[in-house]
Amino acid sequence: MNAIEIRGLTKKYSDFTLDDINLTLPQGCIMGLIGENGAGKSTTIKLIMNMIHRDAGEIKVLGQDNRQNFEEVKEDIGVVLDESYFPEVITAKQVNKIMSYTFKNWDEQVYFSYLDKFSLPHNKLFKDYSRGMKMKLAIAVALSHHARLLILDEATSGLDPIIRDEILDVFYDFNKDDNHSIFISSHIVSDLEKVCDYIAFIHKGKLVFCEEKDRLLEEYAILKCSKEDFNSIDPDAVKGKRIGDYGVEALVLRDRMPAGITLNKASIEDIIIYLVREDRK
Amino acid sequence: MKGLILKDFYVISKQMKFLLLLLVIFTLLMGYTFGVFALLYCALLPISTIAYDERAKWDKYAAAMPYSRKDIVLSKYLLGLMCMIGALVIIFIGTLVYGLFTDTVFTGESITQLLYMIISFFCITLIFMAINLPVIFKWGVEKGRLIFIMGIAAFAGIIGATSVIENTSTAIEIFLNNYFYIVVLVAVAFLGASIPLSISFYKKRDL
Repeated sequence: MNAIEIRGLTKKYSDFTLDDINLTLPQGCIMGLIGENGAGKSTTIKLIMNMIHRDAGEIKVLGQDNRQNFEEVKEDIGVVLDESYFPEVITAKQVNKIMSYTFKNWDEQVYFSYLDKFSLPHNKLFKDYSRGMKMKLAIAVALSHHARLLILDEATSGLDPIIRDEILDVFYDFNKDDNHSIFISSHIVSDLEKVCDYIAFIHKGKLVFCEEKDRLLEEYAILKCSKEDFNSIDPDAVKGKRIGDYGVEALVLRDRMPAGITLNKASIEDIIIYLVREDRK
Repeated sequence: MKGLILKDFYVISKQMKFLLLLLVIFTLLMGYTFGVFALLYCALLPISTIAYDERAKWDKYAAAMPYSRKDIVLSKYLLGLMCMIGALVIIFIGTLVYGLFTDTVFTGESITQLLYMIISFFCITLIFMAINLPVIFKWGVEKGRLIFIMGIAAFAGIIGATSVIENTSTAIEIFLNNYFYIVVLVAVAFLGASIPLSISFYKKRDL
């Protein structure tokens, strides 16, 4: 079964269009949705959660169309939204009570163990929490009702590297169960590169690719050579380039390169930056 | 839905405690007069919680939880009704106790009269809530508040206009004595129309 299946998803705003998005997150995997600010990541996530209306397309979450009986499905989804929080005067202890009436499978013990793990005070008002604490509380909630799918919108952005690492570990642990899938958006590519099986890259409302991370790393490579040598390369195999005074650095398709040429590994960040650069040309 | 209402009570618990204290003290000191304001305040409580929700973007968060839009709308109506009914009971009992202090002799008729009076006020504030909530579910808190204030101003204007002829409280009493059942019917009808309207507005809204 697929955890998330999106076909032909389109949402039009006056100044922005999310255009014909297709992607599939197989169960048990982690997919990272990468894109610059305003690329359409949050819009995609809101559409998955059926919070906004679409202009076209189909979305299936945990095998169900998200316009039918979605309340049932939402029991199995843990969601962290970007900058969407509890009201200011609520405490973590009260959150436990509220959620115990919200989720059928709410697990108080798990929740309080996460509060301890994240060292979150029980009786402090939410507005007095730091940004990192707010994020951690939302993550604790998302993990405390035995969800099978986590949907996380910028859940690690704005946090310091140590907390980010700690949280990525938590996601990693969650994913050890074969039924557990994660869909996570971020503009911090390195975070996603660490944990994801699949990378979906969205740019100006369009999906540039949605691929297995390992395939991407296999498929692309970085070529560094002189301008003369570069001219002998098949231009179709070049996906992006940076021409400097001393030579050329280019993102190329590895299997279309002539034998014996020296290629460097391309990171996900390289791939994305070069692809966008090509787009700007 | 229980979770949503519980959350709202946590959010407003401070102002609720304060209001409750004022309501009890003032009702014991001066009868039901303060209760009219308390009822209005209660009718405004759902809106005040929606304002809190919007500021924290909890409305989006709640929509991602196992709640339907209908649940979210109904929880606000229920919150308002629960607070208003609570206030109604306190006003009624408080006014009777106030009567004992002031050696008022209660007859069956005067108690019925009192009930008519406060139920009428209850219904009028209910009509306010019924008008206000759909507006808020469609356009958000800011515009909704404006319309509510305009409504109160219009209402005060009508009362003011009638009191040119007679003294205000007798004018209201006469009006309510003659039209009590109509007021109740209108309130029920407004509430009955208001809830489905709010639900359909809120379902259409992008969060």
